[in-house]
Amino acid sequence: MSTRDLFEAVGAVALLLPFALFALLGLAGLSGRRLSERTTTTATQIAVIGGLTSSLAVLAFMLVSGTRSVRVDLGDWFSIPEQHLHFHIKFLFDRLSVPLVILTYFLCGTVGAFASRYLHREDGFARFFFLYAIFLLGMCLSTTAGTIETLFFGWELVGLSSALLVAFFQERRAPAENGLRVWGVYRFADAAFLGAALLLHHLSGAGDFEALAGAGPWPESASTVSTHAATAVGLLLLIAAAGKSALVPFSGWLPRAMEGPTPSSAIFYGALSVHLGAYLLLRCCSLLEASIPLSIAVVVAGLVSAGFGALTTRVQTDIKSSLAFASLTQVGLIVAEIGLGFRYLPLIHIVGHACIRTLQLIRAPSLLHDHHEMENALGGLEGSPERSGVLPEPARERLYALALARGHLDDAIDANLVGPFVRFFHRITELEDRLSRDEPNASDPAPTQKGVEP
Amino acid sequence: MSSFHLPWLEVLPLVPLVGAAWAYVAQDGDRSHRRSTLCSALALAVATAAALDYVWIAASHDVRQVQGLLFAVDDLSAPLLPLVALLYAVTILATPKEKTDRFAFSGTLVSESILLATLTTREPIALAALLCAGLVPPRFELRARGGGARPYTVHGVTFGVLLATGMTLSHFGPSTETWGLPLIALAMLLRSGVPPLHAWTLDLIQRGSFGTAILLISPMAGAYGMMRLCIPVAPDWLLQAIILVCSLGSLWAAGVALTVNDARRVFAALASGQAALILIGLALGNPIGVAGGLCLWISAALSLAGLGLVLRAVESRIGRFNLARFLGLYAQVPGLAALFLLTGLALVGFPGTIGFVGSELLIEGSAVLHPAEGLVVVSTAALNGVAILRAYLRTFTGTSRSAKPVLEIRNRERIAVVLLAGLVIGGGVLPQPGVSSRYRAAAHLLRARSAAISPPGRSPSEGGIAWASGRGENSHWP
Repeated sequence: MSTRDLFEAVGAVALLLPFALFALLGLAGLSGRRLSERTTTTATQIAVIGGLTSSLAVLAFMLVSGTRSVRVDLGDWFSIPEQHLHFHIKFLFDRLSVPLVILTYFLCGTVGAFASRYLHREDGFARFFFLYAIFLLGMCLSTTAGTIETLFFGWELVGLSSALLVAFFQERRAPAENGLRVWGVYRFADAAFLGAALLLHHLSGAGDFEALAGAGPWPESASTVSTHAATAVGLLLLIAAAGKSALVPFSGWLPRAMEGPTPSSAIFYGALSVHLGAYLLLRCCSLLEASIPLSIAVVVAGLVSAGFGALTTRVQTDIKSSLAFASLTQVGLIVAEIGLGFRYLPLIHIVGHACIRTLQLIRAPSLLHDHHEMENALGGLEGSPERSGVLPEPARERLYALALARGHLDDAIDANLVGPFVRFFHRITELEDRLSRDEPNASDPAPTQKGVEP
Repeated sequence: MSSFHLPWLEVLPLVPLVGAAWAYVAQDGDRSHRRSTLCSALALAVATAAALDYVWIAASHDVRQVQGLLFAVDDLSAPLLPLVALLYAVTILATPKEKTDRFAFSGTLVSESILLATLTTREPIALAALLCAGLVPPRFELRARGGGARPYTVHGVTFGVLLATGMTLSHFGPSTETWGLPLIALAMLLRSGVPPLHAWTLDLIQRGSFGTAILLISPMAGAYGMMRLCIPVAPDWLLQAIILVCSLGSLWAAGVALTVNDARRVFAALASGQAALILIGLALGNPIGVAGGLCLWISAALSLAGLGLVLRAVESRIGRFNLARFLGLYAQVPGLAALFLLTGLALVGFPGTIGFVGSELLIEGSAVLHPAEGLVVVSTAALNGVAILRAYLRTFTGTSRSAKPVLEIRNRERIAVVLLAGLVIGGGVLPQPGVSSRYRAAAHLLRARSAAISPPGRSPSEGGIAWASGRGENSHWP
């Protein structure tokens, strides 16, 4: 076995461990066997530490040997050889994926340790760690994906776990509604992602990962598709990234996502999944280089989101929402950097921002305590001096109101998209009722009671 | 021509038929339930043996069809036999105890017998007759439960008339076939419950028993009829028309599933949407698309049955329910909640489940020539995904207002749904055998189609339904 083979095997371990954790917790749940908190925590620690060690080993190998990428090829998931159709399971450790997978393990490990105490003796302890395992697996698959299918697989796992974690405190109605909202936006983003892959296949005749991410090692990968195709496909990918990273106009789900437990808010919406859209744009940066209009669109989307986030975060009345919009500001800047043609800068920005935001969100429940400690140490905090703004007072008030209402983005989506959709299909349902009515004027039977055969 | 080692196919429809008589003479519901469970399990064993025997013979003799004394099996129908038998067995097994007095076990077994015969019959006319006959036992049940069953009856009669007229016209050769095939296609769209031709499914699901509705809808008998009687000889314009209708139908169904509040209606809408997607795949006319449609067929049948059984189990605990409010059942039935989510996600093609493979192949098959249909598949999956999570959250989250405790999943229900869930996951993790089998069936169908559309020296007397059933010289279906 050569050194390269050895490190490919090590890379595979980094991906198999979260899968093993997911399988263990999932099978335990399905079979009705409740694992103890200690067992759950230990299994999580083993998976995270093992995965982190493996990822670091791959990084060390790449640095020492000067290798730009390590490919882990697990073969065909399924194939139709007669049609030259192969659904490959392939992973790629390169300059983009290795920092992100190490970041994923590092932050998931930190938050896992935090959550094992934070959720101690909570009813949903096992459920949280199962969803955490799905998220960890999804992030690892997304960031190291070497095929479109693998990327989509991870992308979907991240979306599902995120939505269910928003609805974690499920005895209350609001988290469930917010979870559904998050899922709705994610599914829209998923559809845009699949639409991009479909369009790419249609326009270029090739639906493989190389057509999407470009040929050659990242970030020097060169686009293999025409400018026209790059613009069309890239715009759909921008929509997918905007949905996943809560860019304007999809920003409304970000504060809603804070309904989940603090550890999940920290790791998912503050640190990792909120950067997944930016990761997608980085991975497909060759498309941006092939199309100037696409790059301009990315810069505009990033700057508008950053401006919106900066404005909105200042007027939030709870710390988690404030941090959520602060995250949006940084993610917007990262996206703008990508659009401007930077490659390593946004990557460093993602890593730095994810770490600091995780720390802030984990400290969020202790904010008042921290504040009082600081106040006691300083002998009292003076309020900030009154400052006169650059803008006239009426404009500032309007801006304040707009920021407080979070730009009315959710209202606009509800009024212009969700509302007409629901009303249209309510009419369709009424039509169906008329078609399926037994007698012309009869109403539907009343719901039966318990014990009556449905 | 090769034949089976044992007369599996002849025995297969008889097992549930004998079981129906045995269950009918039982003195009480419990006994009827036990006898039905036993007979449906036996039918499953025979169907599995027939399918395995087919695989063995097909591999060793390199044939694409194996004939019994009266019936025959090919690549298309071989996996459908155990699939259908499994759906009946788990539905009968999971029937709640408090419903055994009201569930029509003998009628269900008669339906199973008819459907198994449908899948193995060689004659087009017998196939059409059996497709019509399959609608009769549920009609008796609807009448027995009170109410007129008018929409169901009207649609059933319309289906029969369209099919009979279409087949008659097709029988007289190419000159009248132009009119006959669209009628057959329309009949199969109706039988599949593709919106807006789906009012009968709504009537059935609103007024019939949930178990009967699951068993009539999930196996997708309409798609089978389309596959046997129409698609092999349909001209391209007709396939385009089917794709167009089904595209609109799938979006219609997805929108309704997302906005309607009655849980049964959500199930019916999801089933209609899946039927439409399957027909899109079958009508795409390329091997990958058709294989995608066939894969989706298997996954939709398993997932719909699993989802339906979970909803039925919930209904048996709290009665018919509505998604307008949050029911908060998670704390009491976490097992059902997990299985609901699993089967629901498989239904919408979530990665790692059996549904993903079919959806991927469908999208892949539409990418080059039919990107609009690919976008329809993507959009339908997205909307259905939201509908599933909405139904899950409304059913299992929130605070339960029920003063009475709700029973957790029972062993019979657990066996049934975990079995389906295992297949849903297993088929998603190891999809290659299923994909290969479905691709072979798709390739066979398309070969028969190309032979039928432009046969050398095709005479008028050989036209019509004879070609549809594969009587062409290049076809293996007798």
